[in-house]
Amino acid sequence: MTLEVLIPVRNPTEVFAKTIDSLAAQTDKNFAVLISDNFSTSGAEHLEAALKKLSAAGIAARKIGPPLELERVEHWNWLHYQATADWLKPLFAGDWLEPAYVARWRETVAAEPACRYVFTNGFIHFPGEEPRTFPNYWTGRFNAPVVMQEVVLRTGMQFGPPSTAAYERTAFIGLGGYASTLPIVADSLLFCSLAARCGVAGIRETLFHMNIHAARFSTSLPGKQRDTFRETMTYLYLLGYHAWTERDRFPVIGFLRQLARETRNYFFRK
Amino acid sequence: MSIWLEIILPVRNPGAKLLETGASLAAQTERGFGVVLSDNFSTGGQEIFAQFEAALAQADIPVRRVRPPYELGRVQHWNWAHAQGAAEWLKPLFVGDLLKPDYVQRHRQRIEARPSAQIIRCEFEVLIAGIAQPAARAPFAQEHLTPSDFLNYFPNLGNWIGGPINIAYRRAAWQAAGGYSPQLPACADLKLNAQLALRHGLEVIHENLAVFQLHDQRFSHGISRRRVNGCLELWLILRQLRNYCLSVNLPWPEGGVACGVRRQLRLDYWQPFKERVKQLFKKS
Repeated sequence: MTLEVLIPVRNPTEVFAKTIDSLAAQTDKNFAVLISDNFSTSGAEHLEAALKKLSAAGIAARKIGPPLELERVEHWNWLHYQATADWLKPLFAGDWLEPAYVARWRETVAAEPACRYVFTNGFIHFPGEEPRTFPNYWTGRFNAPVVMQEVVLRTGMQFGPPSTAAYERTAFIGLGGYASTLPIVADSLLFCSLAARCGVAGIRETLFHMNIHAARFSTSLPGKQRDTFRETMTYLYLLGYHAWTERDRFPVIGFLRQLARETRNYFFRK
Repeated sequence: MSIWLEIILPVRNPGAKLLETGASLAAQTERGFGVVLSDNFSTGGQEIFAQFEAALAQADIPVRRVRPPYELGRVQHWNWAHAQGAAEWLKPLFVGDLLKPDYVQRHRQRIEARPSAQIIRCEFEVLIAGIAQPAARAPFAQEHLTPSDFLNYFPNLGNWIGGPINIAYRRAAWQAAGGYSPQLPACADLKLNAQLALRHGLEVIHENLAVFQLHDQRFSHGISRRRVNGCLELWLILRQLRNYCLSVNLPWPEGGVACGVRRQLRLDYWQPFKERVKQLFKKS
């Protein structure tokens, strides 16, 4: 079972070093790293240092770049298609993993051969605040697709951002990657679809750290509430329509309640 | 000769129609292309596979036969088959679809004339039970549309873009888009094609270079018996495209989603209803 950690970067800053340090410190080093640079105009020294550090740690690392400048989500997709391992693990610059991550991922996947998507509990770090964690009910076991189909229709996204996730390459490709037409919630649609179609295994330990730093896309989201609401409703409709076409069990009331909840939250926050 | 174009052929239990597709490839006026034949766990048609491969080998066209690691859904298989492509350009083709002899040549000429092209559309014919039917044609004379130009003709003029039959993609553009959406089993191709046109613009060859055959094995042949809803899918697609346009500051037309869906509702429900009423009057 091979794993490739995929890091899309553009103008990396010093926070990138923390990401690379966490990979070099993994207890299980049987994985590869693929860094894609989307036409950066600065930060080349951080990329060079990263490749040296990974090589010194005995981890195979490659740096590539797309043939034309891509948008953010497009770049994620393109990078995923360049990988060749059985499993893919996205990781964003500034985020980091606990040293046991790869070892625990391997144990989890080995324990459940049907598993094609794994996520882990983690911490979110806001600048100047204590790290926060949100214990997840779906960790500690493999949850079958038939269960998760209903769960995503009732409650939507449950599984955290891309840096918490690892998924089988074939499953990612089959589901058409991240939807670049929904740049804010592309991960929600992909992860809910993965959970609903393939099931999901959750690792209970907190093995992931999400760093809300200044260069992060999501730090500008609070000003985009309307866009987020519009995209959220669209991805929920897509999940609902897909379940209907596949003749899956459809919790109509639960689904409508979720739509109502999103609508209420949007107008209440506004 | 190096392979600049790969024909992506996702197949499951192929019938003799696959051989017609193969013959149309063998009849191309120039080479420089290969075929990725992806078999999604067929339980029959092995002799057809063998005949297809033999015919193309004889025509000096390389064929790579591949198979996903496990059985995939229909749209998921398209995506997986595309991901096996290694050439700079990818052209999806389904069992029974035909390319006219000039297809490869015309596309190469267009790419040479416009090296920045990422998605190319040509005109095509529809063949139902051997009878040619009119297909939607591009409602303009330009050979190149910018993303903003594209919005002059879409969505208010309906789906004139076509489907996989008349489209070829640069591999990097296809990969960056992610592929076809399995959430949209009937119109995944429309979403991908429109999305790429809004991202990169669209090259148009105003020539019939492909033939779409409606035969028994085809998904679209039995679409009315399947659980899909074209209007709902179109609505979901247009919502996404509008969202994309807003996020990159493209001038999405006001009321574009409603206009596109209304047009489809008329086609799917109002026109058939009118036809039925007319027939009733005729009978009475």
